[in-house]
Amino acid sequence: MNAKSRISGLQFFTVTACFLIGTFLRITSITSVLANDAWVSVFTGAVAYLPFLAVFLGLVKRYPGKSLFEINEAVFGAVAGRILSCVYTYFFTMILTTTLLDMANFIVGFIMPGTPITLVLAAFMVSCVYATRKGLEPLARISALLASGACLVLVVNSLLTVANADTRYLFPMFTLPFLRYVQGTHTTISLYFGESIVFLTLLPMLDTKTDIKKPMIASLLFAVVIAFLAVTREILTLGPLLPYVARPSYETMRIIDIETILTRIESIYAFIMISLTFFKACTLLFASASGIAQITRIESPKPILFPFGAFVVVFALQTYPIVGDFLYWSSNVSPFIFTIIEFILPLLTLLAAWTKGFIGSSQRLHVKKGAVRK
Amino acid sequence: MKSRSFTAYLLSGILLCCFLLTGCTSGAQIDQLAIVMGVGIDKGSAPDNYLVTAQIARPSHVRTANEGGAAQGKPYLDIQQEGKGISMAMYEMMRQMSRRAYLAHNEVIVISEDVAAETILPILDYFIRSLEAKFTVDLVIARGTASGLLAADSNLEQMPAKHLQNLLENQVKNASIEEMPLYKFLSDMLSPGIAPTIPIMELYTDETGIQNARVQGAAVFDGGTLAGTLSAEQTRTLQLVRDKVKSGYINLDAFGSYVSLDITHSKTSVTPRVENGRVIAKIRIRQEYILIDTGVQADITTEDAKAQLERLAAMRLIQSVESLLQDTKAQGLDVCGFGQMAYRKYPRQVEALLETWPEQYKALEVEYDVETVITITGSILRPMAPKGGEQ
Repeated sequence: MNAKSRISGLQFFTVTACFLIGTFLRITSITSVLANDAWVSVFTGAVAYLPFLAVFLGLVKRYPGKSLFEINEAVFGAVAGRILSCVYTYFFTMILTTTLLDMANFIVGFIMPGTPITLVLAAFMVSCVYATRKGLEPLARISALLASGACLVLVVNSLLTVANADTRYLFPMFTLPFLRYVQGTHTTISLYFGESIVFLTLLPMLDTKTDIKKPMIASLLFAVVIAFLAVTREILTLGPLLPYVARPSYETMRIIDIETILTRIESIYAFIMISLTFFKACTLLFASASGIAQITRIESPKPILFPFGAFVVVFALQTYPIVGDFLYWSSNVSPFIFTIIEFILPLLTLLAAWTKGFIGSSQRLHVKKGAVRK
Repeated sequence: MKSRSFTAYLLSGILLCCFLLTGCTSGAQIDQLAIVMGVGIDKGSAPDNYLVTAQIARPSHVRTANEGGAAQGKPYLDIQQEGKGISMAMYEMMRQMSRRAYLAHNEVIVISEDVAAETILPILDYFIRSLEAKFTVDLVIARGTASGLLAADSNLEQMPAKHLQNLLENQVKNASIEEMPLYKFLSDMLSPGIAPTIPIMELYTDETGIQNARVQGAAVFDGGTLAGTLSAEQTRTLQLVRDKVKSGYINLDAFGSYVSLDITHSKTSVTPRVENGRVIAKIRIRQEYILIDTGVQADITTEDAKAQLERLAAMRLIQSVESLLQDTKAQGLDVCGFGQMAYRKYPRQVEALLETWPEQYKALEVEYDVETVITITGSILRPMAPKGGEQ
């Protein structure tokens, strides 16, 4: 990891966009809740996420150039800040674990049946560690290529599904109970948009002149467009089958059959998904290792990467050996845990920072007044 | 220093092997695979048992166009096995084969009428769960045995399964049937207010004594169980209501003889509405024709004659839709999906009606708005009558 390499605003945008597309390609949690109305939650989720984005941006504005872990210590002090950083580090490790496990289950279940999952996880993690050790800037450079590739594949694949699409599958709209829409929106912000809190750990790597507000908002809009396109395509193609299939995007690709020539092109989707997952895993690995480095006062997270990567592989294998348990946890449990970490804690941090700033400024004012009296 | 670099190279080599060889775990050479082209499912000797027939391609026996001549043997092999459920039969089948059955190229699943009369859900469950099988594999109901239909040789195709698939595709082009891939059937089955259909095929013996396969109507399902059948004519009408007709012809008895019209344009739209707790469907059909053939010697290009023909064509369309609805209403099977259309448009009003939809469908009121236009009378303006004739 090269501390000198900095990433520009544009690169930050492609990094965040890649991360979010990688997240939205695993959209099963929304489709299983809202079926043909899943597209709604993309918009409601994005709107509901805006206040939380404002919280993230408020923290960044107050502590420019500091990572999330440094902000914690600046606001809550060394001990409480480190405890909070431990929670975030655990959270990033959890997302990393579930991301890797999901990808490994996909490879073992769909692409290379029979391949030991341990080997897939280990091989993938070695690549991630190697890439992360090279630094974030090279990763940021490839993110532009990956984001464009993912968009191209998504658009081309969507065009290829037109022959099998049926617009009537969108109807009837808004017939589900209101609480289901709330659940769908909550799932969208906590499982998809909310993960963008990880970008706060990358801030020290940014060019000092970079204003992160624009790239963050641009990547959010970009992710909304991509997610809407992906979800709508799946609704139009799979229709009532949508809530039943394990991987809607992949199954949509399986349906493409143009005159028996253009068929079995789901491997292209698999390639994009694995590439984006690799990118996402690298970002999360960097975030988790940075957290550990900050907590343990190690100068650089570089020496931690390999042992930590090995730990994550073992953790992934031990945590959810049964796919069904993992899917249940992802859909029903994790949104609630994630909400606390992604939104409540940053909000408390911002409030504490404000309070601290307010008290600090009033104390300064008091001292100043005292000095005048003297 | 030297030993450290040696260790690094060794580790790199091991890691490289891990990366490159892990994909081979489930790998199989093409000569180790039994490529299944078609699957037939008949009833087994015990309840829940199926007799599964897998048609396996023998690429070495496939004749190319240049080779011609007598065949060395059939380019396919039908293997049968009975088992409790499809997976058991497939696994048992492996014991008869030196290769692994590979379903990724399976083109057609033929299910016998007997099996369909009970339920086809366990069969579909196997194929939908399979990561290897195609989502787009065609479903066919066999009148008679599925294995028999799958064994029907064709002079045009070397592989019976491919022949069945081409037959289906050809009928789809003629708007005689709707092809029913696996995913489409499941989508229809999961939708409320529609009875899904699957094309029926049967064997017939032609004048030369050779057995051939042909498409003969459609099987109608209630859930996953065969609940009724449609004749070939009714299946064509169903395509008209579903707006799947892109070409075809209509033959009318008119002016003491016949008039054949070629359909050049066809558009059908169904608009449901709910009145007094009942669903009323309005079917709008607009078709354009060209006159292709007639036995009438009189000039039928006059405005009056044309109007009469157009009226006859419209009446024919209404009669055929009425006939279809009459039969399906009697069985309570909404093959056109009026319930589904109404639900999509008026979900709140129709939701309760869908619970007793078969009964509601019997009382469904249908209005027609049919427009038929003869645009061209072919490349001649009037019939060619012998000299001294009337015209």
